[in-house]
Amino acid sequence: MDFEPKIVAFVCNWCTYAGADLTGTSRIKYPVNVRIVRFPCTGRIDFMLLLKAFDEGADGIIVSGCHPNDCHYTSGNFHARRRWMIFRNLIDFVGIDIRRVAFSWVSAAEGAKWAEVVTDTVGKIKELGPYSEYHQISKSFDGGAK
Amino acid sequence: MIKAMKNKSLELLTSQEVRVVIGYEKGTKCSTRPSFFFLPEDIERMVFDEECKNNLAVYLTKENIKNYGRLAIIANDKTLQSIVKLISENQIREDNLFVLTPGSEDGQVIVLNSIEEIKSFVNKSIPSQKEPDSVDELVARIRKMSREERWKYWQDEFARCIRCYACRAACPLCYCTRCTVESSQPQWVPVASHVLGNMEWHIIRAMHMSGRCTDCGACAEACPVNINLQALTRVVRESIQDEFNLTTEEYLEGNNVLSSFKPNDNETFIR
Repeated sequence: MDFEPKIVAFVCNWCTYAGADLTGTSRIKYPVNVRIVRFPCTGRIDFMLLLKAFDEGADGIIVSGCHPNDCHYTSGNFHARRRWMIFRNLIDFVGIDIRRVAFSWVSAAEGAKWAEVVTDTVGKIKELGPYSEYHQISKSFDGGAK
Repeated sequence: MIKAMKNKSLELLTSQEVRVVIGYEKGTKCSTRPSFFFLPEDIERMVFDEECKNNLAVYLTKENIKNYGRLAIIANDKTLQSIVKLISENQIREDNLFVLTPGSEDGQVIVLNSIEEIKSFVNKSIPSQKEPDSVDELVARIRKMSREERWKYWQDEFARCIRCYACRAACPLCYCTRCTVESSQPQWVPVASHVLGNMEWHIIRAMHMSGRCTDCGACAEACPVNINLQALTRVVRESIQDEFNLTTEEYLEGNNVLSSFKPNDNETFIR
C-alpha cells in the first residue's frame, strides 16, 4: 500500500482557516492527508504544539496564517514569525527534520494557494517517507501504545 | 582585591545599609561556593578570586532573598550581565541592590548602587570581540554534521539527562515560580527521564531562554551528566544575532527579542 502521510495543519482562524474554507466552496480538490487545527491567531501557535504533533504521529506539519500586516490582532503574525525563525534554527541544530515543517501565509481569499500548499507539502512528505525517527522515540516512551 | 572586597562588605553590614552580602566562601577541595554573609564577623570567611565562577544573580529573584530588602552582591562579569537582564525584565527593585565588582585597577573594588550605574558599567566592560571558546568549537563541529548525525548526537546527549533540572535551578533568568514542565493539565512534557521528554525539555528551555540568555554557562556548569547545554542556548543567541542584528547593549537592555518585532523582519522559508 502506498504511504499516506499524516499532516497536521496549524492555521489561524481569520485567514488560512477561512482560506481553506474557500478552497472547499470553490470545489478545488486537494489531498485528504491534512488535519486542520484552528487557532485564534498564529501568535497562539506554541512551538510545543509542533513537537506534540510529531510525537502523536504526524509525518509533516503546516503552519499558516495571515500575511504580514493582515493580522486580525495587528501583530500576532509578526511575533509568530520571529518565534519560528529562532525555533526553526534550533530544531535544525538538534537534528529534527525541518523539511517536514512548512510555513506559509494564506489569506482568506487564497483558496487556490491553500490547495497548492497542501498538495506540495503532501508530495514532499510522501517523498521523505514516514517520520519514523521521531515516532520511534515516542513509541519507546509509551511502550508501543501509539 | 579580596581585602578591599571584605572591607567594603564589612562597611555595608556594620552601617546596616544592607541586611546580607551574597558572596563566595571556600568550598570543599580547592573550589569556592556561594555564601551569605549576615553578620560583620561572617566576613572573615569571604573569598574572591578567579575560581569564583558561580553566577550569584540566581539568588536575586528568590522570594526569601527578596524579603531581606536591601542587599549587596559580589559580581563577576557574568553575574553583572545577568543583573542587567534581570533589571530589563523588571525583576530587581530599584536601589535595593549594591553591586560590588572588581575594577580595572589592581585591588580596586567598584560599588554600584543604582540601576543606571550598573548599566553604564556593564556597557563599558563588554568586550567588543569575543574569543571563540570550547562551546563555539562544539557548535561548529555539530553544524558540520549531516542532519542524521546531529539527531543521533543529540539523542545520545539527551538520553543521559536525568531531569534533575539543575540547569533550571542554576540559571538566573529561569525565575518563573511555575514552570511549563510541571504543568499537568495538560501534561506538556513527560516527567520521566526518557529521551522524548528530555529532548522536549531542552528545546523548551532553550526557546524560553531566547533573547534572555546572557550566555553565562551556569546551566552547563551545573549539569551533573555534562550535557553541553550552553551549545543550545549559544545557537539560539547566534541565530538572534544573525536574524535580528542586535548589539549586546540592545540585547541586554532592550525589549525581549520574541516579544517585539519589526515589520520588515526578513525570513526565507515562509511561502
